[in-house]
Amino acid sequence: MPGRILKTAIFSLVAALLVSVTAIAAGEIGRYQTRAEFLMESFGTDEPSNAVIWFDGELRSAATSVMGHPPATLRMRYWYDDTKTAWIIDEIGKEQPITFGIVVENDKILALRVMNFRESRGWEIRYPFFTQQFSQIRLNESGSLNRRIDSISGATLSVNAATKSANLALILDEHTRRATSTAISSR
Amino acid sequence: MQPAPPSRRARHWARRTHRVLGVSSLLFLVFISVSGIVLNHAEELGLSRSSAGTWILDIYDVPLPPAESAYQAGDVLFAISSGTLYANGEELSRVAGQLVGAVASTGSIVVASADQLFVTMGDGALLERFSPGRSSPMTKLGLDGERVIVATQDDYFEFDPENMSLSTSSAVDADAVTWSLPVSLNARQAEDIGMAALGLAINWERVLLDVHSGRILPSVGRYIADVTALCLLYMCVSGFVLWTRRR
Repeated sequence: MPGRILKTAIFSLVAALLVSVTAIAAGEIGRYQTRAEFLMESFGTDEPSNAVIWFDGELRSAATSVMGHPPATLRMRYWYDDTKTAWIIDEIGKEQPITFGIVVENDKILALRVMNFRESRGWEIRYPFFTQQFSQIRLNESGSLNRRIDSISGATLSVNAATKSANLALILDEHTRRATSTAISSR
Repeated sequence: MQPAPPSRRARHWARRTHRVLGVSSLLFLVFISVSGIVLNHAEELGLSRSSAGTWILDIYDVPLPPAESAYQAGDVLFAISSGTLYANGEELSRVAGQLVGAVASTGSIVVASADQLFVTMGDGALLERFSPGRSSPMTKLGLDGERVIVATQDDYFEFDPENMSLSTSSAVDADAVTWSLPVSLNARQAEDIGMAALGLAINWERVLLDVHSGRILPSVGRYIADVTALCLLYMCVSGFVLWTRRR
């Protein structure tokens, strides 16, 4: 009897190891969505209006505070229509940049997608069970996300990258809307 | 005078060594505790993103990582080393794959790697980056007059740096395009980029971890840490024994 239990335990262990190794070897590193596909999904066209926002002054400080480092680029492109803005943000998980596509509507996140994942760990963040947590999330008074995002064991750094990118997208969206309304009221 | 009984002598010796070891390992214990707490919060403190500086690299004495590919555009030398793109030795961005070209185009510079396009100012400051997401990697970058042309294994595309868009270009005469060619680095340039790459690889988290474990001193550091750990073990045991005897 103990022999059978031992055999079953060894078999289960080997099977679990094989499954893990196969999952890693299969390489969850990958390009899941192109920019055109992301924009088509978000706006119904792959060429919506676009503009750039410059990271200067107050916005640069806000972005640095959210991301924990200064923005890698001097400006960021975004796409928009009457109600939505869409942002493509690269943020490093542990060593490689993860590309997130984030759509914001009425100051809330409508969708977050992992477009390109280059890290060797933490790929679980691309699944809907994780990305759906960002739906309808918004900024609180202190400029952080108003809901806590549940982490994934073994993918903490990727989860952090997603959370920081979502926070940045909301701040950028707020900034562009404020700039637009200021421009309209000053006319 | 009668000599002290052996058990009393042993107790006296244990108390004395316990005290001496306790005082002498005080600094070490404080250091281990503080460095352990800091390491525990390395991510929040940004230690893994903070280069340790060139002075500490001499202690590590490791060979400089080579520049894997380099291209010149205008006054800026772009090179990739250890997965990071550098402009004149300054870190620009993490990048997957090799550089395929760099061209100066109407006030900006376009740089291409196998799966990303970068647009920089004339001085190399990064304006924007773009991952086209094509299945076929980019292989060449060139100029056809004012047009920036990107080649993949199957096709040619025109890149618009203003709109960061890539469109299929049927009217490309590959022979008329001036393709960007790799350059060889001189010793000074190779050293600058190697030092920058090594500085990124050896960050403060790594240094603190190595100091914490004693590996910062390659030959003896581990053994110093071992001896100290044994001393602490001895203090645990002797402290416990002295405490039970007193009770």
